[in-house]
Amino acid sequence: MRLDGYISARQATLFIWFTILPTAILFLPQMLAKKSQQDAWLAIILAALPALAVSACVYLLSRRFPRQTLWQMLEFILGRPLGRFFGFLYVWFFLHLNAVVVRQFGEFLTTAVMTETPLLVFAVTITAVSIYAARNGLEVLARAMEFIMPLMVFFMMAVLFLTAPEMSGRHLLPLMSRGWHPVLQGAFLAAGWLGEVVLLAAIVGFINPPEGLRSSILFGLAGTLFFLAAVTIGSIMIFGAAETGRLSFPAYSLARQVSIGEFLERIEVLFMAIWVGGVFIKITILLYVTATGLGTLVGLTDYRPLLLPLGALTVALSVWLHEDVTHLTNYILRVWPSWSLIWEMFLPALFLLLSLILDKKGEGA
Amino acid sequence: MRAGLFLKAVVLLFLLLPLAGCWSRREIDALAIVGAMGLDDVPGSEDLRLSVLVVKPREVGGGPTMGGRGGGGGAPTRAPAEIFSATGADINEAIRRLETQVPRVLFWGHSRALILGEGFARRGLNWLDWLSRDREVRENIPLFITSGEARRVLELPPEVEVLPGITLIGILRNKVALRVDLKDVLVMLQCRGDAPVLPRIELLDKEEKSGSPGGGGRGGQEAAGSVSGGSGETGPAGIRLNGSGVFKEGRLAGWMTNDETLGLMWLRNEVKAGAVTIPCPRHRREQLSFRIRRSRTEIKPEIKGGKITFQVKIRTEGDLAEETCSEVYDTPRKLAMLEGLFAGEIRGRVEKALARARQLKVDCFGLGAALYRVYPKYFLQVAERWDEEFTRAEVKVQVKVDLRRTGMNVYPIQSQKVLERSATKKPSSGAR
Repeated sequence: MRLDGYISARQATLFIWFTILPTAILFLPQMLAKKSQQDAWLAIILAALPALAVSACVYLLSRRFPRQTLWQMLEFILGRPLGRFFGFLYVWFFLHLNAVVVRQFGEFLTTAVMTETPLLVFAVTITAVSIYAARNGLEVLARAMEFIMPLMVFFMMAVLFLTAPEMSGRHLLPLMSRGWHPVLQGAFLAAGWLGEVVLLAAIVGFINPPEGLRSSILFGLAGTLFFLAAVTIGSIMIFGAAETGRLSFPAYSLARQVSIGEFLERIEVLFMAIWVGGVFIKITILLYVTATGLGTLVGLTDYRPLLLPLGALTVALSVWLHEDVTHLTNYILRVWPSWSLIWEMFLPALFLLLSLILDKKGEGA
Repeated sequence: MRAGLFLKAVVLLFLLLPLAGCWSRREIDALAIVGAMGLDDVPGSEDLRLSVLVVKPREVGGGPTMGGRGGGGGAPTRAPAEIFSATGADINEAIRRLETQVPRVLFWGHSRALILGEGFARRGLNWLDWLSRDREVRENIPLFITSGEARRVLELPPEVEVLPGITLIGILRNKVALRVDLKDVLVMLQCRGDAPVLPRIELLDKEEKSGSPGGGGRGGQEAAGSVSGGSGETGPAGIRLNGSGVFKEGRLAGWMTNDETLGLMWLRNEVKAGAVTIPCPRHRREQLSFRIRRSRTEIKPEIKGGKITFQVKIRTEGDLAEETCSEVYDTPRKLAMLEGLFAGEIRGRVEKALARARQLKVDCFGLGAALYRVYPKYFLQVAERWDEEFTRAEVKVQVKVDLRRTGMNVYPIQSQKVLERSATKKPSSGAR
């Protein structure tokens, strides 16, 4: 399949940011606070190590196979049949991930904002918009990121600054009162999320100039970690670890806490609106990657016809996979970290190792 | 080409449908806006009683001043709100029953206060779950407790502020009383080595409110004497925040007086404004007041030989706000003496609060939490019996007061005479 378009190194940075942050910011703080209590932020910092390992794999693979997507690399390394087999598995993994993201999006809106609207409505509408966005290709998507990112940053900073008077550093102490174990548990959970940076492998070939990749990985991960940690620390400093672990959406509750002089308040709906923009990007990224991957594997000339059926499949999966929100959170807590790390860390590392052992290189490496 | 145009037209026509507006929209004239909530127990039953104050926007419309209404001096105005009340096994059941009485959809997002009745508070705070679970109720609504029925507080007639919830928020904004929001209660409840305290609302009858005999004395607060308007035969004429209710294991365990509550606020680092009044050192019947501008409390736990000591350091600064005696405090040394007296008064309040908490066997200051922050392992060992340990722990209170400024005048009113008297005395004493 012929894919054209280039994204700059800065846009690749945003790509990483939007791949991880939108859902992580809303769902991770609660889970981390439950697992690691007041040391949740330590867990996030620790989880940076596996995330760095994942992106190092992607980086090294891209050095060996310049201007190639994940699926092309797989065929090079493993040969045609095996490479395609793993390629299909990766398409499935990303499709599945997208279904979970769509589901989380819907669950949040039906829980916190529009309780009477059926989940399906949110799933269908956001996917429809994402299909439209993905049709326009990577360059347009990258420009949409550049537009939405400052809004998200502004609102997250605004919420954190405006709630600062209520914050208390005492909630962060004592450090590691129950030893390393809870911190490691939290780090494992966060690693599954931060490892989503593996999506970069699917578009790494379009980054121009390719030398910019290293800095975009570093800045992208640093930005993601910063905002994830800031929101987690902010929630814990306001609500304490116990209450943060009890709230469904600490970040949203944090935005609800903003009350300056009784006129600058109730801004959480604005926060939610911007957040919807972020999730829209994340879903579009996943949809684009899934469609281009599948298109490459089956040898289509254009990925666009795949978007609608894949989107429909995503919506159906998002509804079918999980019975209720308890099932969803249980899945994320118990299954997702180990399941996702297979695809995010174990397999990429294996592929990298194979390409080194078999001494396989792409053209121009 | 034709077909494409037709298709576009059909799509556009379908887009007209959502233009009618949101699906589950609720216009303001279909809402019953809850201004305040009260929770009571039902004596002789396991049920609870939920009372809500539903705002009547038409009556509140004129703004908080209620300008021009009534006309003939103090004629009773129409109530700006209506109280509905229903019982139920839990809050949700009570709400469902309320919905059979209220002609509109109840909207909770604008509740400004939640008042717990004494009987309800004794049953426990686990009922608060609904408040944090519901998406409309906000985490920053303040909670209050009243000795008696919470419902009665809602009956407060419209005065300076039209609605009781706004009145309570307004009083809290003066920053003199303890403010505890829903969020704070949830945090304190879940924190080991801490316990919730809620400010207590006291209902005043007409005489108490407008400042007839009674009350008075130091520490007693009197509401400003205003001309009471409404007839208010059954309801209270006014309210004041006086003291607090202390919870142990989520249930109301006892009360603190106003002085004890002030001491508690010092210990909890909740003092942001206020005043401390002491008798003049030379003339016991005259008074001196210190107005607090800033204050900071630090608690440092220490463990020595199995004995827990809390070093409490209170640093506060402010201005000399009032002096009715004519003593002159114009040198650093004299000022230091005065600061010491104020510090002593503050320490006294803190000690009082500590004594009451020890008597109730509740650590309502978060001392245990402070211990946990520094000695987590040690605290986890004693966490189960912390309330016992707390009564044995020693609390050393150190207060430092800085009188920074003296206000718009330097000397008290009659000070010139005093100064002249001492000026004429001195040479004579020197000559002797």
